[in-house]
Amino acid sequence: MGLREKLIEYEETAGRRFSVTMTAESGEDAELIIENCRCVKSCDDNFIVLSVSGKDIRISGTPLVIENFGIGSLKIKGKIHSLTFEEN
Amino acid sequence: MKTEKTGLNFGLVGFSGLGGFQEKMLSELLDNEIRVYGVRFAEGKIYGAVSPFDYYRTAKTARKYGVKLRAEERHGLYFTLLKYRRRIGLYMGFLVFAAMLAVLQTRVQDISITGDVHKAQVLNILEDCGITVGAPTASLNISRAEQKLMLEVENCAWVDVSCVGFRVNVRVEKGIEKPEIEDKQPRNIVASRPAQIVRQIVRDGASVVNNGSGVNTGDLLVSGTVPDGRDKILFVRSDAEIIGEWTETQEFFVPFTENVSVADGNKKVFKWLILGDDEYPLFLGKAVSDNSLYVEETSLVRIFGQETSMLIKTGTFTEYTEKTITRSSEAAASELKKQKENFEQNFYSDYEIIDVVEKFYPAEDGIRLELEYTLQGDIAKPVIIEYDDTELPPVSIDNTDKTESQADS
Repeated sequence: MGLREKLIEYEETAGRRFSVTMTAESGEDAELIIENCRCVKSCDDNFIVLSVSGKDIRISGTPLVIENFGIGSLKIKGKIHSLTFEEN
Repeated sequence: MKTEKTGLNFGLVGFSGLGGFQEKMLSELLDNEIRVYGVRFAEGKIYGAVSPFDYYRTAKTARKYGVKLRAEERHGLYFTLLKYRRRIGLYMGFLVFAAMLAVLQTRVQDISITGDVHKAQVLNILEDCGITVGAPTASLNISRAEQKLMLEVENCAWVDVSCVGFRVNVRVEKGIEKPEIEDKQPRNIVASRPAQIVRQIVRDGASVVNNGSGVNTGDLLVSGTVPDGRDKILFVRSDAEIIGEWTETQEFFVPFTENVSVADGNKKVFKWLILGDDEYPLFLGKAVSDNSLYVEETSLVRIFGQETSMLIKTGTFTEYTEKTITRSSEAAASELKKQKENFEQNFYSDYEIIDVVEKFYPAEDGIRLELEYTLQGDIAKPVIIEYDDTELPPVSIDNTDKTESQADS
């Protein structure tokens, strides 16, 4: 495999990979960081559905506030009740 | 909810969007790497905030997805500057300040000197190298100034001259003083003046004169060549105190009438304010006065009875005036005595005055005093013995060799 093919493979792998990090403290709002996400499927005050490389991440909580930082990185703040992964 | 904003923000524009495909709009904003702060959804509306520079693209994306976007709160530096955009004076003032700062930085405004060195000397050397207050900082010849300081400042170990902004910093460090090393070169002691030897203390060398004998200037008193008792001569560094006695005659004359300069003319007073190392004149022009006596005094500045760190230096010039004075014979004699005392203090302080005979000779215009001093003092004067090392090692006298050679001949 040539260098070019290797790079393409790395890019594809990186495009498929995503990470979800949740930080929570008792009595404080939780913070959910989702990396490599570029699509918000639906959202309202209590539900957010994000599409990440063939999977949907469903977040429920009150009230949810979205911020983005870097490239394809999202930060969701609020009292998070549940986090669900669904295959597309 | 408190919105956390990090990084360098020039400002933020809050927005609210109604209807349309809000999720798609948000997805596209994410895809276009537009940073959106505090996005939340409530009652079918999307709320958030973007940088003022990104608002146009956000509005375009909202229009694309049918979202009715409305700008709300605006805050930050961008909008503050926008608010004051018509205040030309404010910007002009800032520009003038920046220009002044830039222009003043191009010239030397202060010279700071540190180290155990005379500031006036350093300032003179810097002036020779073109480094003065007001000189352009771009054309300072710092390396030349450093070289000149190294050469001209006595016992200079190292020098650092640097220009930081408009200030020239000079640091001069001196080396440790060399310890005095006693010279070990052999020497004789000769007479510094004609005298009669009274007593002598010879610490090293061989005395060649007796007490009571008379000597002339340059006569050998203590020899630096000493026999070592084994038919050899050693060169030594003679050390002795040779007290001689001699007589000297001095004459003084005081006239009855004389013109003298007395400092009792017009007074000119100049004042300076001293703050730390700096002096600020409290007058215009230069503090100069010809043919005057100058007296200076410094006093602390007090404000409401409290001492401050400021000092006031007062310099007073009193002009000399020519006056004719007439003395009585008693006053003239007293003046002669004063002159005699001053003379003894200035010229005979190293000698012991054994006897002095005073003879007053009154004349028509004044009194003449003749003094005949008998003095005692050290007349020893060291003289280095010069010899060639290669030819003359410590002299050896071998009587046996001499006798043998004489016998052979």
